[in-house]
Amino acid sequence: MRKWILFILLTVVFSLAACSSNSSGPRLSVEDAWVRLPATEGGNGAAYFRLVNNGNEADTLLSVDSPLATAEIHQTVMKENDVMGMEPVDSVRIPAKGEVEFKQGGLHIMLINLKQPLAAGDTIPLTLQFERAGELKVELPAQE
Amino acid sequence: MKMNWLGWLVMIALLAACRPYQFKGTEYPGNVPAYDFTLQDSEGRPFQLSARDEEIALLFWGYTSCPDVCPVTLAEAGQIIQALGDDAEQVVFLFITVDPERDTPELLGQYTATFHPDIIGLTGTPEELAAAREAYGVYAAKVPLENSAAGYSMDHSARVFLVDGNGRLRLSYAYGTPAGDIAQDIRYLLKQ
Repeated sequence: MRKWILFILLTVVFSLAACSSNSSGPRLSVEDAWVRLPATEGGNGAAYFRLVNNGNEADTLLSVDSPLATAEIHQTVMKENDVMGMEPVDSVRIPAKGEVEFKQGGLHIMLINLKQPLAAGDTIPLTLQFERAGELKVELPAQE
Repeated sequence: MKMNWLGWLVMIALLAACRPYQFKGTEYPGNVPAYDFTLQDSEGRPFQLSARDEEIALLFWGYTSCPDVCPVTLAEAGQIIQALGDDAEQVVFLFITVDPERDTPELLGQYTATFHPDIIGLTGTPEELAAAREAYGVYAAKVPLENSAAGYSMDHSARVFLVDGNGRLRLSYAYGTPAGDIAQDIRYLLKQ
């Protein structure tokens, strides 16, 4: 009888331990987001935000998607002699208990051929795909 | 007693005037003539740099598909115009495309108008544009982007150039120079 009780107890304990492993891992959120609308019809916009990871494990942003544009992760780079360029970025790693800033002159989400008309105050849906955390859907406010 | 007081005031004023002004931008030493180009504005009209009405010309190079850098520079042009107030009438802001393939005159006009109606977008033949870039030391290169819907991007110098009323290339500013600094230099030059 005692062996059975012990067995059940251990099973319960192990199950609980297995369940609680979900509380560790990456915990991602998008803060202070905004979108600069394109200056021309069918032009390119840019989305900026802070990608915050409150979890105790790192994660990687793999891709972004939007119904209103072809969304890609890009980065502005300053080269020699004040030459600026832009390049697509494959993935962005967000450290545990850390954040990565997408800002002007640096990382940004390029919204290619953003469907208009859009005005300041409208929101643009964006789905971020993470390696571990999976999908994160956000609505980004547009600014002129 | 009155003379004394006035005397001091005059002396202080003279001393203040004698202090040489320190430009915020990078100066071109000596007399560097600004290359006089004729390019095409968004209405298809020719624009010749030396034939302009305004005393000062500020030149920026960029392209309309650029979502991050160029909008910041053009927004700054708007800020400079605000900061200058009435003096803005003496300045012309020129946005010269490095991407004539995609930047039609209409698109250029739409683009600059979003930032400020007083910014003039300029384009031309590839040869005319290349000659102007070379003369000002502006680099531009097409960068094909594989697997990107953007097709290609342009690497380009992000400096801003100032040409004065005597057709001289006087100053240049790095990307991100505060609008107030540029406005200050312009105000000084307009007083000369």
